[in-house]
Amino acid sequence: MKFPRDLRAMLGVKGFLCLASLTAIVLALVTYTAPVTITPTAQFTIGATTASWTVYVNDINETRNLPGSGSPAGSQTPIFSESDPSTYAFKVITDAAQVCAVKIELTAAVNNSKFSKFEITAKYWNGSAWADEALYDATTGSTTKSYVNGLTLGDAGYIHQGTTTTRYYLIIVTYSYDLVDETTLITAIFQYTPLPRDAF
Amino acid sequence: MLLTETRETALETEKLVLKPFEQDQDASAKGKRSYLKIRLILGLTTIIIGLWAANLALFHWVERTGLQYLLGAYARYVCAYGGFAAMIFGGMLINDCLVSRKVLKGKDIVAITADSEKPLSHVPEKVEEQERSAGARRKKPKKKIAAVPLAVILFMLCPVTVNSIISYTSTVLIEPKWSAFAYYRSNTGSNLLASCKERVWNGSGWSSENEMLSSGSNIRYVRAAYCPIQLRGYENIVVTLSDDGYLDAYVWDGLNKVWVVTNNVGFVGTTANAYRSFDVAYEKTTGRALIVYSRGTTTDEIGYRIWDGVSWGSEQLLNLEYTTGVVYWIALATKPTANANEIAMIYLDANVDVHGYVWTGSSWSLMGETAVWETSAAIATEECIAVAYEQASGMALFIWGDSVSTGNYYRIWDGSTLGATTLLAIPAQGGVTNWVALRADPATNGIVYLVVDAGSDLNTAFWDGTAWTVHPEHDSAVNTNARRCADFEWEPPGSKGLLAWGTAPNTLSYKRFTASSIWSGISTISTTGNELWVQLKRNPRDVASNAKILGAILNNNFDLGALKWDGSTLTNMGDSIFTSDTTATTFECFNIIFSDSS
Repeated sequence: MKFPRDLRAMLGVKGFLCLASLTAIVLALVTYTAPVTITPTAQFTIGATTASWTVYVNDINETRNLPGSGSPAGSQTPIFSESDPSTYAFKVITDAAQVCAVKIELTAAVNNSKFSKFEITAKYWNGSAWADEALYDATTGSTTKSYVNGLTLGDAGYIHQGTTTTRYYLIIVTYSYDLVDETTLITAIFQYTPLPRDAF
Repeated sequence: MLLTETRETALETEKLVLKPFEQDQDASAKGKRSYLKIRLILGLTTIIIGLWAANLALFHWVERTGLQYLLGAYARYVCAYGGFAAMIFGGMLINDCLVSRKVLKGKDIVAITADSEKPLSHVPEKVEEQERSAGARRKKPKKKIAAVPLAVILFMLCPVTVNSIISYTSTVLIEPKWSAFAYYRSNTGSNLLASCKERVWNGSGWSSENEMLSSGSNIRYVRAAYCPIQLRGYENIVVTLSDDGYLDAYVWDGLNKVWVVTNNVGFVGTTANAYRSFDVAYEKTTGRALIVYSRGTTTDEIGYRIWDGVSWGSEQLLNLEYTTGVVYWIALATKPTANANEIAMIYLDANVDVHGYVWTGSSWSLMGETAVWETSAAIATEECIAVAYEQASGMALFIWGDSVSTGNYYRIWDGSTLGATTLLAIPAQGGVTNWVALRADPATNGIVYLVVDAGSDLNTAFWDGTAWTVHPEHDSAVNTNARRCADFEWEPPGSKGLLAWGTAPNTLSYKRFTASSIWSGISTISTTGNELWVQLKRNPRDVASNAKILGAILNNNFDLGALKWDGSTLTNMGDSIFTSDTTATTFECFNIIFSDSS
């Protein structure tokens, strides 16, 4: 029994306490596996990624669609086609397990020295026509908002899509371009962020 | 406490170090000293792992998908407390080692002796020598020992969290443009000729036809004006004169997207309605608009009404001071300079008398004149009068054709004094002046005067602000002298312009002009029929991709077509693009305007 005595001399009481602590840590971190099959599912599909709108100096409360058609450019809603992504802004497909909120915002506010109004709303395809979609102020909850203010940096709205639904969405902007007599091209970038949730 | 701990440590060291000397076994002593190293290593390892484990449990703990912890939900707590314990015990173990090393060096030997009551004479010098020789080597490991826990602590203080979320974007390119509007008579829509029709220029083409509300009678003449103030930049006014002799006013309320219609806003009678016996213009600064019209009478000959942005005021009368004939033709011009509200008026009556007034913003002024300007104008039934402001100086130029075939007379109003009636002779004229146009250069005081005379000659002259330059005759046989089949307009930046006229079947001729006297050769574009009315309008803004001038042409087939000038090419956008059915060419039944608020 020389080895245990040497070990006691070598480590002492505190050394053994150290070993005990390390053992506890090791035990805490011991894991075992359980077979899990992970199936990534994309709820969100982007539609039209580019568009061109024509606005006129002194336009008041005019609307433009993303995507849009007609003349002036963007003034008419597109003719919807499931197979043509250029006829909707984005598509959301939910299953029975998860709902999906989509955050809608501009990456940068439009210039409020040019536009006196830039209100963003959304519509969805109800099978026969574009119908108004409710916008919420958060990913969950029931507080709605009338529009996303494109003149305010960081303002955003959320679409709430329930379970087991497929919907196609269209972005609508109501604007007034009545502050400057200027025709410099303007770029607006709309950003959509899908946010899966257990419930709203 | 420290003393007690030191004593305990010393006693332990005594067991490790001194006992071997008592037994006088050098080889065994070496082995015992190596225990200190083992404890040191164990202590360092334990404290580092303890730090890591505590940090993991506190800041980076994740519930793993597909992996289960042996201790289940307690794993995190065991990891945390195990880490704390490891840090404490590891630290204590390191402390022991450091104290023991000092004992070995002999620094604490007196204290130990005092407590242990044992002689120290046998402390070997050999150990001291070994410790001294190892001194230099110990410094580096000490730095490493200090650096490792420090790095771990810094790591714990700055936990890095990286969030990643996927977003999607759509990019919209917004192209602002200006609009223009065409208003015209057309035998289309539900009210046929009794409603004015509208089309909107979208930057590259004309929209589909919009039918305005009925005027109650077939339309003859159309005049339009755009509100000049930014606050009501969505507003324009269209005034029509109909077969029944009534004027009807349409104000576009861009806020509510509706036409505010005032039927029968004035009555010119059924004689003066054969001529454009009315006009509409805005005050530059207030944005009030005036409709001024013949009342078809020989006293209180002129009526006018004021649009204040909300509603039309009641009819007010102007009894003309020095003329008594029924007024046939009226032309207005808005003073363009800042803060101005002046509007200049020239009229021609059935007695071929010509006279003028200025609207000061509150009343009509004769500009100090005490007699009629002209009693023998060229013709009463054609528009041989015009007025325009020099765009830089703001002085008004009134001009009319005289009964002498080469004679035209003009007067200058500088805002305080009316200049004398002065002759402008155009020797190449083949007859008296029938139709005129007066177009002001937007950039200078230059003005081009255009004349179609009774001999169907087309002539022009250029006013540079002080004198006239008469140009060589452009054409001696235009399509008609019963209509204004020619027009001139400046390009947006000024100094250059376009003259277009009808002179042969199925063509429209045009020239470019550079002030003050340079004309290009004649060019032509294909059209259909004989062009009887030509109207050109300047785009107020100069944008490379946009039209510089838009125009309309009415031919003898009753087709109303569109022209576009881009600075180098004149394009016929369609001989009947507006309508193929005006049903008449007697009247200038169309008007193009650009949005022009600033």
